[in-house]
Amino acid sequence: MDDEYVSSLPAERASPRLPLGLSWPRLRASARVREAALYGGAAVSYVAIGVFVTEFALSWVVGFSWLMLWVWGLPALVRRLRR
Amino acid sequence: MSWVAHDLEPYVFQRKLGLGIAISFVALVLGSWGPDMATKWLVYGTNVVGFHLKASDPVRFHRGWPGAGFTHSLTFGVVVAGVVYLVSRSKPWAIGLLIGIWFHALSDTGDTVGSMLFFPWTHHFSLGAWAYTPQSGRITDAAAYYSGLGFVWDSIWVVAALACLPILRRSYFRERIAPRDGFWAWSGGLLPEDALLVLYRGAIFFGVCRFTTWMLWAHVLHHYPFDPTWGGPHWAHAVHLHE
Repeated sequence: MDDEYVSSLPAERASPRLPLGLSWPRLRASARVREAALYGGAAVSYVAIGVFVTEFALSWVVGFSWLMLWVWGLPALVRRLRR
Repeated sequence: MSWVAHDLEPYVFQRKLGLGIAISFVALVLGSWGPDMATKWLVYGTNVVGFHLKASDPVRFHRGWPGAGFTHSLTFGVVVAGVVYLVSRSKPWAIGLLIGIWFHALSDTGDTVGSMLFFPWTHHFSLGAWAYTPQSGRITDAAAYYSGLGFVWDSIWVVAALACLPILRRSYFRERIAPRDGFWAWSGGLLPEDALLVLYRGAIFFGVCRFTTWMLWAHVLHHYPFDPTWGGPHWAHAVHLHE
């Protein structure tokens, strides 16, 4: 949805070493694609749950929180884990 | 009664009117939701600390007088906007609330009960295009709305809102939304810009997803019959003005 920034983290910071010699997968999707994927994931999961749990689809508080969790909370969590 | 139209109207108005006059987008959303936020939970009934609260006459409470039907009037929009302007001296907020409430009241004239647009004149303006059924409960109401012309009405708003995608860009938010409204400066002290952007896009996400959810629920999961005829669906008990 916007293209103001692209992932330009140094390789070491973008893919720190994990215990046992493993490393995080290096996904270098553009910011636009990554953001669209997050919104898409939020939408698909929200609809899938809402169809079976209708209270989920009725509350704007849940709707906003769900979107916030996916699009802002999830990337923030991943960034923190990668540090 | 409209469902997701009230979530999506603010984006369409922001796109159409936002270039000409300064409008608070937050006020537009609150105005668009306001009349139902004040009434709907008592129309359907709700549980509060073990007590079930529900209006004894949901239709009159929601749209009539005596009741809270005045919230669905153009007059109410003028009063709310006037009070907010007197208190805050904020034209963007006053105009946003005015437009939001007005279009909520106007779009609710589409059902079989309609709204008292010029309260205290208690005449109901109603097109009668789709059945008013909240008295039947939340689930039946959803099934009926998305089986009659209500789903067509909401579809129009979904298409119109999706045509507004350019105003969801970060650059638009920075240039046109955030500078016009102190709410964003205040909330910017609590949350980063990424989170504010999610809030700004939240109502369109909620509206489009809710539309998809209810359509799937009503017609894929439960097979309620479509009846997009005037005043339908006729399998549901619609309240009319004379009842």
